Amino acid sequence: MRPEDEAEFAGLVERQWRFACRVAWAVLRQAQDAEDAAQEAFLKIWRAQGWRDLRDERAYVARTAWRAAVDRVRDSPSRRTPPRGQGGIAMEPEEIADGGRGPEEIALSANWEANLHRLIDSLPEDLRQPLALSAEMNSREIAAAMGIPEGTVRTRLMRARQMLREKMAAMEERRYAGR
Amino acid sequence: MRDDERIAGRDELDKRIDAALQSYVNLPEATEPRIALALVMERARAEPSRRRGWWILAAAVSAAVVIIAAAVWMGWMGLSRRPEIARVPQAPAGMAVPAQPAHVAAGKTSVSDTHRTTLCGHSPAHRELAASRARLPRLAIFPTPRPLTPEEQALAAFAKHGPPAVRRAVIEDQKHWDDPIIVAGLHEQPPQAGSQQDQ
Repeated sequence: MRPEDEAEFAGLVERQWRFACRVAWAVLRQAQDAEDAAQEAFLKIWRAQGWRDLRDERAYVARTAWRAAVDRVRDSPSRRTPPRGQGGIAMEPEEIADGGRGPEEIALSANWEANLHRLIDSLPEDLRQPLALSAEMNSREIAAAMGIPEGTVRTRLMRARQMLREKMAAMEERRYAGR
Repeated sequence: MRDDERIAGRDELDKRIDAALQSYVNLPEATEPRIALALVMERARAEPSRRRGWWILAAAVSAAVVIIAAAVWMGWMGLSRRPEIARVPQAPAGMAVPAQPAHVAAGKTSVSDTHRTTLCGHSPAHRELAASRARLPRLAIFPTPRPLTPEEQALAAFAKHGPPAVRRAVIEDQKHWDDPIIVAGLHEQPPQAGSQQDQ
């Protein structure tokens, strides 16, 4: 490997490291796992010498990091469980839909942002991942990273937002009703 | 008015969702890129040595497989070259056969085995000779061995197990196989003329 290659690769890592970590974090919700997945992604790029002649390095890094993170989830499904204090308490969608004592009531006691994080964590994985990635990428980039059609990404984003709106509205109503 | 309120409320929720998403993907306490680069490069540089280890292991396994295959093949070739004439012929029906040793009766004896057994039964020098012969590589046999015909089998059985006196007589007889055959002259008296017609 030439020194220029190493310098190019170093530049890529400098530019895209945090982005790769955030992509992996969006999938894994565990800080250490996310960094490990990002390292794995850059190692794959190094092995494949994939930083040469990149048309869209951001999309390439996003796809590699997302795959590394998904591989880690596949190897150990327990990795996706959001830890307390970071992503919030893991909740099933049925729990959220439940009208009784559920995540909404727990969420009422905390601020909006933390509550929303919990609600996002509780979304089905096929909705949560594109939604989380939508904070970093547009629909086309998400589609390229996840290997699904762009139309599917848009549909999932709409469904995810719709579910979040409904839950938030229900939270709001309860909050006012409780006063 | 209610629609406007609903749209405004929806916009408000979307803004909150967007804001929450931005903080949702913020990785807490991310490693500095330079440190991450060092870690990645360390792992990348460790790769070649691991790969070389795999190559050495693969080469060793391949060599072992080749050696085992060659040994099996050589053994198989050695077995397949054993001549078929090594079977002990059976005596024809009706011939008196003397008692055979147990290993011969079991049908496991070959000519070479018999020979080796005989040698082993003798002096240590003979045993050493037999052992050295056994160590020699097997040579191609010409002409190609073929099974004995029934007549040859009967002759071999006779030569091996026949009564000594009879065998000696046959051997003596074989020495004179090309002697001219002498047929004794016939001495027939000519018939007497009119002797029978008269009767």
